[in-house]
Amino acid sequence: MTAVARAEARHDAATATWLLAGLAAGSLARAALNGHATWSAFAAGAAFGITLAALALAGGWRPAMPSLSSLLIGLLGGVVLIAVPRLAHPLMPALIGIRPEPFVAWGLITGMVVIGEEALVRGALFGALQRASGPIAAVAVTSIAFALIHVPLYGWQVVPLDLGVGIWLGGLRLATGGVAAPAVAHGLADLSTWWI
Amino acid sequence: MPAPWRLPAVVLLIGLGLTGLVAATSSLRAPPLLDGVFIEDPYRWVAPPSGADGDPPSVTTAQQVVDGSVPLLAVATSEVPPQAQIIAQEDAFAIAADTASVTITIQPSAPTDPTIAGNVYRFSVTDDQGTALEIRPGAQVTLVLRAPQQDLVAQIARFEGSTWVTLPTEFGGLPDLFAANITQLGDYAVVVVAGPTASASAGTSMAESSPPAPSGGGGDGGLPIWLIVGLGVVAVGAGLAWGLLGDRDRR
Repeated sequence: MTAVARAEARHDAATATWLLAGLAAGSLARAALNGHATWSAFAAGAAFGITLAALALAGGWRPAMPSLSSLLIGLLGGVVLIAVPRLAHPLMPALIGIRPEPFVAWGLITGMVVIGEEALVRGALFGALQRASGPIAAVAVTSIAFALIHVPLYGWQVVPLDLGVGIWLGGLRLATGGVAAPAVAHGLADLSTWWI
Repeated sequence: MPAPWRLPAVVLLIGLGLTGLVAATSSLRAPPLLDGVFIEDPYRWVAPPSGADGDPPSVTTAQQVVDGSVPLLAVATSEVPPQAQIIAQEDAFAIAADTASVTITIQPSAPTDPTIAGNVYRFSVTDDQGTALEIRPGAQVTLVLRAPQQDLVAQIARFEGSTWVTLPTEFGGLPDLFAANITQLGDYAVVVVAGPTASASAGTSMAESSPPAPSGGGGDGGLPIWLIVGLGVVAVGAGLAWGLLGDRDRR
């Protein structure tokens, strides 16, 4: 490895470290500010999404026009995420009532959270880890991070499910080379919770 | 050299397998809980502690019988998220041949035991003659109850004449939701079964206990909000500075 390559690897590892720190701090701050009120939850969600997107940009990630194939793969990936629990329990209706009104605001804020998380986790963080340590480390670390950032709001019980989903989204990132596919899959699965 | 598609395919299979395993081992058909905006109404008590909310709603709803059986049903109280809900597969209740409709009722009452977290809920299903129905053997009927605070070590329990009998309980989708499959209708509640919360609540009635701290982290004696937010600001600032300076150093 050349000195330049070593310096690049060190830089990527350091970038991944501070991105992880920012991600952890952001998720804790969001949980702390969420509160019971609709306005505080919406504000905390919006601030969380914006902060993560800003961190991703600072970490070197840049948005790019997604290819049609990435969008289609993302749609398929989202359909799979929605279908799995339905297929596991075809006779049972879903849980009721985690649907904060109004839908437009909820959908918008949810979209901001999805974009922020994907830009940071599967964008800047994944890229830095992949360059520093390879794709397997990138999938492993981003999947664990993805599961853990949901703990402050949803509890430890979500870790197995979100770890599985994180690996799935990491696979979409690897398969397509960008964040569009995991972002579309993630967004579709999130938005589907309004109806199912 | 491995094919370029092999690693993504393996990763996707692992992710799908783990997601499917978790979904299959849960009794709820909950969609993947990834994100969204997290809002919970304050818990409503039948006998509210000082400063807490009262008047928890009950629910009564009729369901038409279709082709001689009760269709799959999901009935819940109106809070967000519901403090009590019942989810039953199709044909879960034994009905007479001439039954045209059934009535599902969820009625809250004050707790009768100091280990109960929140309200007691009575679940009943009756036919159009008012006769109480029973769950068919083997039918899947799931209750989801909300506790007044998060992360309790607790289980759903059924009142059996004089005692509360705990049921195998699992995660209900949020830190304060508990789910259990039942074979009988009746009175159910969330009962604290272990940990410091149980010992703290064992000697006091729920009506006398202090209202629960707001959910969402930061309360319950954890890190103060200002410290968490401050750490977040410092981390983001350090990250931005590092990103800008690091890029400049590399040029």
